[in-house]
Amino acid sequence: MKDLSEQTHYEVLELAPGCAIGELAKAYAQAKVRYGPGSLATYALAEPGEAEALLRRVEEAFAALSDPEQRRIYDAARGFSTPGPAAPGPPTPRPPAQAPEVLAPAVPVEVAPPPDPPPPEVVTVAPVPVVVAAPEPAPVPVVVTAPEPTPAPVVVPAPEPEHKPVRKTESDLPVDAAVTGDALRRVREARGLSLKDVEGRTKIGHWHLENIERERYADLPAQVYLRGFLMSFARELKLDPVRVARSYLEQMRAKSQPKPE
Amino acid sequence: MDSPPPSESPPLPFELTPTARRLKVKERRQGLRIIGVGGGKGGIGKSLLSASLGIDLARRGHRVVLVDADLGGANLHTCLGIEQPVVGIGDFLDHRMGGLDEVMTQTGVENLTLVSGARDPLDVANLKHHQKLRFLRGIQGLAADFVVLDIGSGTNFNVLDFFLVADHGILTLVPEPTSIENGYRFLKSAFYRRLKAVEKLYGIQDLLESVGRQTGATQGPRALLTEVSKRDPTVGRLLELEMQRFRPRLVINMARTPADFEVGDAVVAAWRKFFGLEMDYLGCIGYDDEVWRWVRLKRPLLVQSPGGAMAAAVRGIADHLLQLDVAHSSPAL
Repeated sequence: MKDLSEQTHYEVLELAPGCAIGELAKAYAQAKVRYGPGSLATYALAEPGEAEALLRRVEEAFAALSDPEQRRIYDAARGFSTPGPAAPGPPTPRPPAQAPEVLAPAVPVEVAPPPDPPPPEVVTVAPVPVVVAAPEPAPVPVVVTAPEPTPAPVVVPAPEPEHKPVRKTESDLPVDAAVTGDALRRVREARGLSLKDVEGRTKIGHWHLENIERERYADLPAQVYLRGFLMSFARELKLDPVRVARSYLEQMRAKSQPKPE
Repeated sequence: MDSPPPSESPPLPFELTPTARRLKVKERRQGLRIIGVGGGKGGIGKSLLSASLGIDLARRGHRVVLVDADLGGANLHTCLGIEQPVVGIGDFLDHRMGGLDEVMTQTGVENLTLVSGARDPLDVANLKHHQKLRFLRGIQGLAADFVVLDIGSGTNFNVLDFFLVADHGILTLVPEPTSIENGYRFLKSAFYRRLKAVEKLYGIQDLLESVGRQTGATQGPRALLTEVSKRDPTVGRLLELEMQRFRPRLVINMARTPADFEVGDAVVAAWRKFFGLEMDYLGCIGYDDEVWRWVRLKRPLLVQSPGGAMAAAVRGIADHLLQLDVAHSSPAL
């Protein structure tokens, strides 16, 4: 029952020291979904701020462990064995997929004086960019060498320019993108679902679904119902229901005049 | 298997507190295992899961007694598709019958009997303390390999105590925010209720009281432990062991999307990360219209559709449970 501040990077990611890089990427992506905003599993469990603190540690752990050199130093400091071909000699060819451009520069060829060995458990929040929702520039989680079964349906055309590639996790919407009717339609189509399919599963009339997608706000039901519709719809699309409902309603309020509900 | 506690006031060597003493209930019949199916919220399939687990275990040759401990909301007989039983828990509580074994009903499934709540008096939900103890004692004296307790919703003391008396307390969740919220609440309540039973042992009355006053019991086990360890490291170590023995099992019901099937693992991880304790994930049952149809027809699903998806899922859950049973054949939860 260790406090978060006492947990190693591995414990934060629930991995054993010595795990392969593929596992690392998977655990990282999983942690982001599990503890990220709108996760069902943390609902009403985490105290305010707790989830954010944990996510910061997750980012930090991944940043440190996904860089072979940093990881070697980290492991050595704790007596863990670093797996695989991470020999200190010539930089091991990384998996062909682009390695995450973590904070550290490319692996130094000769082992120069190692960049300051990270102290045991001092949690430096510094290098890790931001908390959660902001589009983190650095670690693209999809490092996995083995091609994942589901090729990311590149649904979202990234409305904002600087978006990282679509995460291959639950949500195909970028973490911070506004959920528009159009985005919902595109996700639905990417999943190969017709409005009738969704109607069949959610018992929401297809005309409502269509109104949601077309953003015909005037024809939509009262907000209490709409919220339920949005959440069911999102669930069918394997998106985060809470986030979809919130974002959609926010935009609806912004776009239409504030009408009494 | 279960060592009955010597007396009311536990002697100081803090050997692990057996289930029985937690609830001041004396005797547990040799070899009996109790499975409690709870979840905090109504309508999440606790009764159906109880009935299905009972049927599955009975089919494996275990003697199983299903007990409808959802007092005041009993409907397990309906899940089993049998007529309203003529005797039940009410007769036992009113002393018309001396033992729970006298109010059992056959279910039509070999090895499986039911202690029904169908004929309960209308005020049965407000069980008096002595009635509860008698009921718990009755349960622990049943001649069976497994007792499956179908526990009601909410977090009142009766509900929590039925959950805590079980060797395997199963938390049933549906992948929806309402269910998850109530489920966590239920577990936290059960956890603190359990600590309450040993508070004197660890000298944590004042700490628990302060926890109780905060709505939602915000002070997690970790903080509690830190505080106790500061006072006395030895007691802290023992309290930690005590806490680790609170180890619920988890079943996810009515999963629809692929993401829903991932919720179980995520809940286990979140419980560990944010509450600091462990949970065993038993399995996931997919949403299935077939289930719904059989419930409508008041027919026990596992009997009607033994080759169906739900039967397979329940089998997996029971497999897992039996493995844990072997692994922890101590009297702990």
